[in-house]
Amino acid sequence: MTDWSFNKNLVLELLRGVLPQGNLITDHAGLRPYECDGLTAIREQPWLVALPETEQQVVSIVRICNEYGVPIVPRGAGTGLSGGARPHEAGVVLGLSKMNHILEIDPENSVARLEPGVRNLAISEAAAEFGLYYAPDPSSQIACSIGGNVAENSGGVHCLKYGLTVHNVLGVRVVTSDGIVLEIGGAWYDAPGLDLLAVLCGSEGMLGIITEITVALLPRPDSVAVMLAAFRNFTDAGVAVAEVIGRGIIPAGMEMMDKLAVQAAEQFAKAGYPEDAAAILLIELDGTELEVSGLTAQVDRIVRTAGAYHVDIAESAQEQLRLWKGRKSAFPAVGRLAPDYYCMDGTIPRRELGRVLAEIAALSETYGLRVANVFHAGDGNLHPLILFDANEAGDLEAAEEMGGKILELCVQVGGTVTGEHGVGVEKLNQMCVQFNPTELEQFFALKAAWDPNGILNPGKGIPTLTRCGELGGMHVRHGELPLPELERF
Amino acid sequence: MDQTELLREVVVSALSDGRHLKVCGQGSKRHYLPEISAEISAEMVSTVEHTGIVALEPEELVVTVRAGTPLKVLRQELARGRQMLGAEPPEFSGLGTVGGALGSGFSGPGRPWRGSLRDSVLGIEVINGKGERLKFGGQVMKNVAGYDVSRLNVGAFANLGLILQASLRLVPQPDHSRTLCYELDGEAALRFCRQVAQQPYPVTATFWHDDNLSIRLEGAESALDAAEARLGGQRDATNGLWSSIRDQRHVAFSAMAESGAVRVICPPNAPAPEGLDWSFEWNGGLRWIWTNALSVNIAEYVHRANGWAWQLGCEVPIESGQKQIMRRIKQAFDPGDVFRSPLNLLSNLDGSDAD
Repeated sequence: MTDWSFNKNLVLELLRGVLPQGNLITDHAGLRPYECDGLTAIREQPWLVALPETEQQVVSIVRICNEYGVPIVPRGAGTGLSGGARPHEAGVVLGLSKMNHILEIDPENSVARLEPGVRNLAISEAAAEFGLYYAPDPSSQIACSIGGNVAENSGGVHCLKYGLTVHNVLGVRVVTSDGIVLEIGGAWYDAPGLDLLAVLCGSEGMLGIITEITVALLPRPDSVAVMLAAFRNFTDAGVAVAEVIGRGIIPAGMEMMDKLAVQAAEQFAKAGYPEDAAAILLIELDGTELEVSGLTAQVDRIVRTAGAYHVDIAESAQEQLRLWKGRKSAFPAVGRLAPDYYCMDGTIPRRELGRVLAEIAALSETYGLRVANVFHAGDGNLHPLILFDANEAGDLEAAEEMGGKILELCVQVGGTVTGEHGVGVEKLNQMCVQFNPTELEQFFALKAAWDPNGILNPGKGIPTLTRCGELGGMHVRHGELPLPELERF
Repeated sequence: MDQTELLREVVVSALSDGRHLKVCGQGSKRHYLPEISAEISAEMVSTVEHTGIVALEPEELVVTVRAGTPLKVLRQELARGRQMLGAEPPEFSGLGTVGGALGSGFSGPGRPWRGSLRDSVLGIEVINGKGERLKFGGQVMKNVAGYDVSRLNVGAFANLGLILQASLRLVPQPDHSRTLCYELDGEAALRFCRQVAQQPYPVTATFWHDDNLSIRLEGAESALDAAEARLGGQRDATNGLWSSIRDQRHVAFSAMAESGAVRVICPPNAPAPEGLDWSFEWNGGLRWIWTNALSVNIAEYVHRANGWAWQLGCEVPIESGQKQIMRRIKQAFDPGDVFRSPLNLLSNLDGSDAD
């Protein structure tokens, strides 16, 4: 459905009838903050922004839009990096930020019931008095909302051990495109019938509007250890990762950085990283006190055997924060090395790390663009940061092309074009590499089952067969990250 | 043995002749669901010959395995690398296949702690109702490209297609395992489980039956010692206790064969049912009521408990709004209605066939 002509005056009048004054934004200045999400390179002004405060208001908006054929772009906190919340010029941005109440923290069942606009970090803060927390911790967790987390199936540095959003959500209330409210799952495990919850997680707002989420809470571990291991070459670091996992140890987090990323981070954050290292590993272990001290000793032996020439075990909570600080500031730190960078988000089987890094180095040579690599080593999620200068003629196009080649390489070795940032509008082209036309058609059929009129977030997530979307990227100018107050790692 | 082409031909020819198919493995879970109505002639298409581990990569924590492979064979193979499926899917009589486990989506006693079988699915290869061979997901844990069709197929009882193979996330086998027992009535056992759940104890399963609560602790020996010192209880050294619960061979389940069972899923803090013969797993999140009928009494209890109940051998209860979406999803994957499933999405709530 591409014809988005409808009677704007009529629809506006109807929307005014269901929302309080002030919750409908139509003026140019008011619409500006909604022009893009964290993917700032791609902007579009929506027709209007609707900010419902209740599920009933969401239902009313969706029914009106479905009846008159008005596109709806759902939006959480707008921190997404793939343009999933990029507005539609003829459509409504449905901002869920006013639905931001923690409805219930239920320590007896270890769950929390939340409106979609609740910030990720606020869940753990509210659960802290019961010794509980919500495990998925995307780097933007101080700002991103749980509704957006469900839409993107967000991860975080701890998902190797604790899983993604899909593993930690027990139930949702969702408004379908025809304005029906479905209550799927709840404060318990495994709903009857097809697993609608699984397919809603990561569906980028294209199947329904989530109005309530029930998440699982976990008890805080007794003890946490953080260690850094420095290596003279990348291969040894890769061996260390494989050895740790091969010995049956699942760290809470395991991060790798290459030389360029280490140097940039150290100069930026003074985290005590050895700047001569070709690669470092940052490993977090958790459990009971005795367990953690045993594991720390074991991992210390493993990384040294694999070739670590320097191991730094944080002695205090402060020291742990220091070690993490370097990793968590890697993106802004790399941003100081060049006027611009592109952040890629592929996932690969870990065994292919050496090959992929060698090919990235070769591409870097061919395109004449430097690359810094940060890597969620435990789960294979690779973030190559391609450095360039958009003022140099052809640099931007070269960076985009090279980024595309890296993602295609990820697919070739058995991985995926997006580990945690989502497809949005950014990776539509690479989706054509990962899926064949028959599979894409199946996606469209699934979409039509939920949204026969195609009003929910049209043009996102799945490329049409004839058109493979625009390219984008997390384009960072002069080290100025979109939403610079947020950590990105 | 790779039978992909053969299986695809079966689907293609059924579609072109307007015949129906029902996908089955060894039939080890037949007692769970109603027989497909005899009036609908659906031919059996079996995946049991489509066997084999395609790739096993312990260091990647992933196995790719064909649907017909017996779970037992897979479990034994994984154990060689000291790994396992975290969900401990039931093997029942030892015949259960990977495809059957995925199709039904059942998880064993460790589900609340190590996740469900669906949680462990990284990628899947299916033949849909149009006879198309499709791949979704992959071999990596972090993957948000496209809709999560892999996990949608888990528990779908082959409504959407025939699962050819899947890539599954593995977990390390724990170094040590210990079971502690407590003599407690149902309400006290539920209360005790709730208290334990709010602390970071290395619990990986709980089971209550006949006023006896068993708690499984797994992990480093030091962690088990520390937990035991605080939790007390008697050690239970019964061999194979947890696999007998997983496979429903434990004495508690003998009532299932004798009188039937109602499977109740509810919040763990729901009250104990009064005046009923019952057992629980998952800290009380899964309750078995040993009875042959979903009586008014039980229905009222389940309503109060804010959960849902399924009488084994009968249709799975699905709320009508959700069933409509599920029906449309089925049609998206199987527009010619080739696959007839014991999880009947085509029937109306009153049991009659939908248009």
